[in-house]
Amino acid sequence: MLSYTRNSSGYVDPRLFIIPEKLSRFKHVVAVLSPKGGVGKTTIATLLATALGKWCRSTVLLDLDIENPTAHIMLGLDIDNVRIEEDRGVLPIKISEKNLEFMSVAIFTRGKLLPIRGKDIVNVVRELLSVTRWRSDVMVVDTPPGFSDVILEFSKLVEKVKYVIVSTPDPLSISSTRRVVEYLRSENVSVIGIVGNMCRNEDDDIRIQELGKSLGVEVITCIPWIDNIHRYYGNLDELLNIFHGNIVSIINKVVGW
Amino acid sequence: MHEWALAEAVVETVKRRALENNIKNFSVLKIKLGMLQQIDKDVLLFALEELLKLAREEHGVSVEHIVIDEEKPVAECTRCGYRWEIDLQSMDEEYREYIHFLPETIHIYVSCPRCRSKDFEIVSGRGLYVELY
Repeated sequence: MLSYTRNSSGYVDPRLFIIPEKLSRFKHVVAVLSPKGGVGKTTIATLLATALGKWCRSTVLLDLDIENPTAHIMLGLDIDNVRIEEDRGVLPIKISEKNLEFMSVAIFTRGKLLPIRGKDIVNVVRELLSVTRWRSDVMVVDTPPGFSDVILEFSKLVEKVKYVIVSTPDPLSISSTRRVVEYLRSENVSVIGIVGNMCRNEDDDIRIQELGKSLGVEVITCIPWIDNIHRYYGNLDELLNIFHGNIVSIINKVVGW
Repeated sequence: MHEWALAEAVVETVKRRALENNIKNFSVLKIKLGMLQQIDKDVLLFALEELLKLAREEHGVSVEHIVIDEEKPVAECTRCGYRWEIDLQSMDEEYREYIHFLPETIHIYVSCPRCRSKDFEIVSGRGLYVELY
């Protein structure tokens, strides 16, 4: 629980007190994580959120990549023409016909780079979590690569988050996964599973299975490599058909049906 | 209203402080209001009064006075160390709206007046902070 901490001038940040209250409405908060870039976090987070919204329960996808948000591209959202609506808070963007909502810093930066560091990054995380009027049952979080301010702040503020680690069979990714799982374990944060991605053959699947075994973490599924996956950006229904079994496995593990 | 969400955060802080310290009545709720966020003070005050009324009825927690101190937005360049007051008035209305929602978007629209870098820190006047006594 957060304590009533004051800064040197005696003032406190009220956002720290409303965030746990606001997020308590979520039945599940699932963060898709990997310190390594390019492993498919955004693809998997977006697919998972879309599938949950379509098949299970109301879901919001939160793109926490502050410096380089891209989940809106996966969703096929024209971010430059999104209208920001307020009603006792900023409302997440409704993604039509899918029981899915979306929140991202891109809604406010309109595709421009946000060159910020340290304290300003922490402020963006707190602002997004505190002024958004969350309405869904499930939150899926697309996290940025690396493991610094954004993830540290988010994990401090949201205690009940379930982490799904994405790893490709590439040795660099396997090393990153090992590192992050060991760190999370040292912080007593539970990792609910590893999702293998871009697996081209049985050997790749075996590499991911061995990684899971050596870490004592379940491998939820291994998603196969797809040539030119960018063809499906903005057309997630097609991608959901291709990866149907993989996404069902992730849903089963993280929220149950 | 965005202001309503901020008022909710303030009143949640009052309730938590009351609970943690076993205090029911506060004489002053002091709010430091950073002008970068361009909060409508009247809307904020209205929301605070409504929510504090509920806090009194439901939790027996009360606040006698609300004091709002506005703070001008000041930035400091990380490259050259120059410190300046951010001028929002000369800025495009659309950009001001994004800054209202998320003050850090100021980094997109403002550069250091001395070295033109966007790598600066907002040192004061960003958002809303609370003190109770």
